[in-house]
Amino acid sequence: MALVVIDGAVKSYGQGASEVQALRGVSLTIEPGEFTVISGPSGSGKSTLLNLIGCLDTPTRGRVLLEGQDLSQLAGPKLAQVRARRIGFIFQSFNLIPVLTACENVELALQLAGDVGADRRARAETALANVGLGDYLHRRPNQLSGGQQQRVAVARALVKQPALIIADEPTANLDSKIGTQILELMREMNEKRGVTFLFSTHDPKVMERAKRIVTLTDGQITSDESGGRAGAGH
Amino acid sequence: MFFARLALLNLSRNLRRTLLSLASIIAGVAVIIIGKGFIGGLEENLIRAEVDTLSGHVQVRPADYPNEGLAHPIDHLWTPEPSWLAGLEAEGATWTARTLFVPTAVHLADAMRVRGIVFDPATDARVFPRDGWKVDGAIPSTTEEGVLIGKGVARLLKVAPGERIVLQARTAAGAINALEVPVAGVVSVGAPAIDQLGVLVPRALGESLLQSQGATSHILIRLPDRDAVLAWTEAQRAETPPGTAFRTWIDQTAGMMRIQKIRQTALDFLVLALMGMSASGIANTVLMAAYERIREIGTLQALGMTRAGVVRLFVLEGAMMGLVGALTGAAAGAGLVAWYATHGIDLTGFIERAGSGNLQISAMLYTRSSATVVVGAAAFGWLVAVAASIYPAMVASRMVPAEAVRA
Repeated sequence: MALVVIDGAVKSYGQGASEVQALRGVSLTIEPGEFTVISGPSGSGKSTLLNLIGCLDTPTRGRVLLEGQDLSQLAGPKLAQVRARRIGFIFQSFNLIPVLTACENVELALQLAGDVGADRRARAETALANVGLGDYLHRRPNQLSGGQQQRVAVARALVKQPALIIADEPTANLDSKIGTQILELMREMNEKRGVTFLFSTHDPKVMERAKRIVTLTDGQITSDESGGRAGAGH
Repeated sequence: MFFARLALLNLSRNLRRTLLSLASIIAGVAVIIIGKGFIGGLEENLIRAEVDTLSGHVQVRPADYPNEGLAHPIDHLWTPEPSWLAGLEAEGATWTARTLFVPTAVHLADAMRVRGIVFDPATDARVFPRDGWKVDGAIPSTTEEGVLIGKGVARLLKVAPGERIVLQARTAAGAINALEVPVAGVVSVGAPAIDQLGVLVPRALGESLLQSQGATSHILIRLPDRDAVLAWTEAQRAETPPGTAFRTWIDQTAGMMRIQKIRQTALDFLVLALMGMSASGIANTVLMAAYERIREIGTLQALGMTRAGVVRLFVLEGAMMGLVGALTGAAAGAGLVAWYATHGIDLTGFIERAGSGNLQISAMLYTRSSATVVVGAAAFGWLVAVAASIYPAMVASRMVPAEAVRA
């Protein structure tokens, strides 16, 4: 079964003469284990598409299915539940909670996923150890470098073992070397654990490693290259 | 616990702002407790000043006797039946007889109208405790020993213990009588009605002056339990001597209690205004926190927090702020009230400046400590904080996650 199916999704903002269509009938299928990039210029609808897939928003028309479940039929609390359990997010600005330690930031994802197990703290520590931050468990975000903060965000996204991780410009605020390390980490998680990643990015480094690149222009898919540049040997 | 810790950490982010908001709750809760403590203490003070110096718990007096002022007619004096008095004692009450009258006291060229109180030396202290009395000289018990005068009378007439004054009064039959009597002592009982204008006359001397052998204007009764006065008077009503009426300490203090109610209402308005300011401070703090943390709210929502969860988190922050403020305010207010409940506030200077012989108030004001008031004020302060944080919490929860997460 496809992990994500988008069927004729339209997303418009405003009404009447001021209506703007951010997505104009997008259809897309993402299979489990993909490492896919959504590419396109600013304003092309990348973030809107990720919002729909990430249950942060619902389409004006059309359908979005995650693991066969029609997200457009779900109300707010149900969408929150899907986000909590089935989707991990990695953001451009890391989006860690500044008053919590690295470990607590990761634990927060488990808490919101409804994990009340006694091993919650241990699982958060393991997730941080897996991204190379075993020695930084009790550091606050402002005591970590940008790369370390993004690793915490990766650990936070992975710890609840979601069906899909959405990474919105994950390397945009990192220097080239650290960005590459983060990408390698995500690629490793994809290859070894079969975690499905969906990126929105302009970064050539990300596109080089993508198995598939979907290009959006003016709210429509204008190309869908399976195999991508990485697959072509870049 | 996780989110309680998160709420606590969030409050510590802008500590100065949090402390300022806390200060308003602390002040609001403390003002409630201190205000209620002082008003309660003043109420008790007024009651005790009346009960312990002039009225006792129950007065039995002529039915048409005036309730207020310095008018103390003696044309309806009465003689209580010994069997009725014995019956009072059988009920556990103590009693004494007093006759109030308005003589003129004269010393050399000075004269003034005073509040004359004919008292029974053998029984007066049973109803009117004397532990707070300060006497320069002695309390007289015989005609030869003379009278006890309030310190205000002594000051105005420029008379000291051992000197003599003339008391001029109408007798029960309406004639004018005058006696020159020695001043046995100068008294301060802590109640202006006696301190400023009082002249206490032993019964034998009083009867000689008023020609009122065996008769009295008042029988004053002290009960084992002040609060049982209504039931007691109801039970005694059938036994009331002819031509007399009961007047309880509640009737006697009703006018003062009406003023107390006005004070209480004024305090309630003040508290309401203070708590309104507290509420606006807390709402502002939580609202600013919400706008400063838009991206975090978006992140929490992206991680699966529901709108209700966002509301809970922000209300929790308000509730924690309210709890700390309410407990601190309660501790501060209760501490101050407890201190003054023990040590009291000396109102002597105030009473002397006020200079009113009709104002019944004891020289020492002891605040009234009440656990109910402390708990109630703390709970009220906390509830105000919780209520004030609901609106900003709703604002935070209405943020669109897709926009908030990238703010």
